[in-house]
Amino acid sequence: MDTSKYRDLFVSETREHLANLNRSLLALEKSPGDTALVNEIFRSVHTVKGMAASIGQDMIAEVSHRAEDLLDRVRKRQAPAGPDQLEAVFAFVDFLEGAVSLVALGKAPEAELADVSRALLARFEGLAAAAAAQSASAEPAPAAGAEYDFSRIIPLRQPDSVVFKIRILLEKDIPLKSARAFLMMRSLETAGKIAYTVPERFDIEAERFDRGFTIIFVTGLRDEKAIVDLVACSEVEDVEIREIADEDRDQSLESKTIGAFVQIAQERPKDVKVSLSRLDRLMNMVGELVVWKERLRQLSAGSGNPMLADGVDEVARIVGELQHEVLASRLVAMAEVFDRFPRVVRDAAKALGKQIGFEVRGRELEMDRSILQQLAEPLVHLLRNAVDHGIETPDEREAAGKPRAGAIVVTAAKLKEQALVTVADDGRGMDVAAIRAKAVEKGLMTAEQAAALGDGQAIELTTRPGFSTAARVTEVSGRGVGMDVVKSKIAALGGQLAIDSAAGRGCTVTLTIPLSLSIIHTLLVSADQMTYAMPLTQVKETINVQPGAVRTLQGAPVLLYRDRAIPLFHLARVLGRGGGEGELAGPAVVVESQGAELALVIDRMLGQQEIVVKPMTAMVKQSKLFSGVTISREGKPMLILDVNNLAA
Amino acid sequence: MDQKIASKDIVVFCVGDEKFALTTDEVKSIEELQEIVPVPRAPECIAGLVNLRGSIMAVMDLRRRLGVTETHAGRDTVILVIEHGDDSVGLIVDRVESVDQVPFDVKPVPPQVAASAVGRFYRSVLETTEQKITVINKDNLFTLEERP
Repeated sequence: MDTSKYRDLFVSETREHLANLNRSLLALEKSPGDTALVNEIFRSVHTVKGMAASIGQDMIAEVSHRAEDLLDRVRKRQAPAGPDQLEAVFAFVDFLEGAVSLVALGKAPEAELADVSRALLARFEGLAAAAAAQSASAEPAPAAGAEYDFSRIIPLRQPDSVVFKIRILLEKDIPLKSARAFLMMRSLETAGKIAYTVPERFDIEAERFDRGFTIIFVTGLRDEKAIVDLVACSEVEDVEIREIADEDRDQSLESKTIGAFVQIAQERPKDVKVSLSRLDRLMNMVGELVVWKERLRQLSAGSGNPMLADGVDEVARIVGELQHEVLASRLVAMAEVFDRFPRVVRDAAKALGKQIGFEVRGRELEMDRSILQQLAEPLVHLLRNAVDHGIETPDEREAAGKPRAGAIVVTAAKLKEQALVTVADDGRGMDVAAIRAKAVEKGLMTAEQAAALGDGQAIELTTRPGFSTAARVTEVSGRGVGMDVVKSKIAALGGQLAIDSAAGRGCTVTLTIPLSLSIIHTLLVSADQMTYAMPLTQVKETINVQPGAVRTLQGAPVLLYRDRAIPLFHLARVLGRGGGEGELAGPAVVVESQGAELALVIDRMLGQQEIVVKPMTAMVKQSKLFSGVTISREGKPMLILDVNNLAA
Repeated sequence: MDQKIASKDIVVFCVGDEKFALTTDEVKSIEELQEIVPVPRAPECIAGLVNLRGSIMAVMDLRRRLGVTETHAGRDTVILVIEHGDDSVGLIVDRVESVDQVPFDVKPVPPQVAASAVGRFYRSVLETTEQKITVINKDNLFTLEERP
């Protein structure tokens, strides 16, 4: 069977289940008696198992199957949700994560994870044996909720609906059993909803059943005969149908649990999946529309035709709304990334013998999906840093008069059109003396220069390439990958990074990142026959430089601008291109670069334009002169100048 | 050595007078040469950026990268689109010769070539009596040196 087209679906769905599993497992660790959580975890594992089996990922399916067995025992209270069990399931989740990544790359997980899988299976087997030994000596636990899974029924119920159990037996030896079953289910779904099937739908669709299967069906139809008609076809040997009354509900599930299920079901938004590449294409097309809208506007203004102008205005309004909607459709909640963090912190803390209270705030803040995806890695790095270098060991903390458990808080908040994301810890803070010593050791500066640095400046040093204060190499933070990597990743997203550290009291790293892919207003300028876009936010003024206003200060040209002298350059020469040999005069742009004003002489102003910023491709990122790139009206790539890095 | 390539299809192309190859699974598409916008202060081998159906792609000039004497773009000059990590990178080559199976002996790169400045860009050499094709190592090719 060709399973490649199902592979992507398997990967994306399993990843969703993985996020869910991590979240539920951490919650379960805190409240081990929570049956709702166990059920939630069980269902995720069960679904993953089914999907894996249906695309022929036998190893994943088998290990999932064992994990499911273990969870089933916990669910039925035949085994405790103790640390051994939880660790085993955590280990399973790690395995699954690795396996899914391999599947995503088109590799067979067997090749790399066979040992891990064997170890896990042995672990599950050990736990199963322990549980069997225990149950032999103890009273048999009451089987909980064995017959019906109400957690999957209740969310579908309406006030006037009825729940039926439909048992279908197909005739012997008919071909295409799964197709018949599929058609029956589809026919049922015209009159109600299928809560679940036994065996699970994935198994039925993969023909993993003999000839009988059961459908739990929630419907407004009260007539059993009508339902039998829906499923009846010539290959069916027998249909047995029975209404499920509320009394069948498992008594061991408390009403609170059921409430929680209903809530979970309601939280699930009515979404459809759209691939990111399709959203990207939409975004590109809207970007071109925006550009053309402006072009049309200019043309209609020049035509003097009021009817045309009205039409263009209307088109402009719709394009504006379309742009807004497309940008909004790309937004996802920070939770998508933030929900991985508790696990990251827990594991890192455990490996280092630290106690940490971890808190996440602002997981509901929405941000463009592609920006959020690229934010995940730097944030994980900051968290690991906080656990590894920030938070002290419990003994050290106690000696310093602090609570034994450290605190790490990740916060996301909206500030104008930007997201402020902070990672704060109450650990030892950055060791400014060590940073100074390291700067000298690395030959970045002399001991005198280092001593003259303010604390804030010293801390900034850690964001320089290759700088790392880790005195030792630990598994958690890794070697030589430091704040510089984080800073450059954030800069690539058009964001900024600031560090605030107080010795003995902790460290806060603040990231400022745009919330959505930006459409910005720019000034188009030409220099040496190339056209560049300059963000209007960076342009202070456009001027015409008179030769008489140019002076020389310490061998470099300056412009008398208002009451000051500011550096003056040819843009073409700053960009290292030929040209710009002539006189420093003519049209120029006054910009602010790293807090200082400077003037850039250009060839010509080409007017203002709204553009959609696209990130620089990796191959030319080394050139820090540009913050991004866009597509010009002529359909050519056009570079966006970043004046902040021009003066250097 | 490098037996992996023996089972694959290759795209054979010319740069200057020499023949080179990449495997077909490395080449996403072959595009006509189009207007390239240069990027100031980018590495010398980077010709610039092109707009490939709405996405911006960097283009490398293989002649400059391999130090082959510069010839001007001719009628047959094309851009090979190669996947590199999450990006696509374009590669300007003088002509695409063929898309074929590997019918040749796979040999290691001769030591004196391997030791040269461009040696790391080569994976292996495919040889017959009439011709010699050098297989490109695209990962090394696209890993740019830090600029001093």
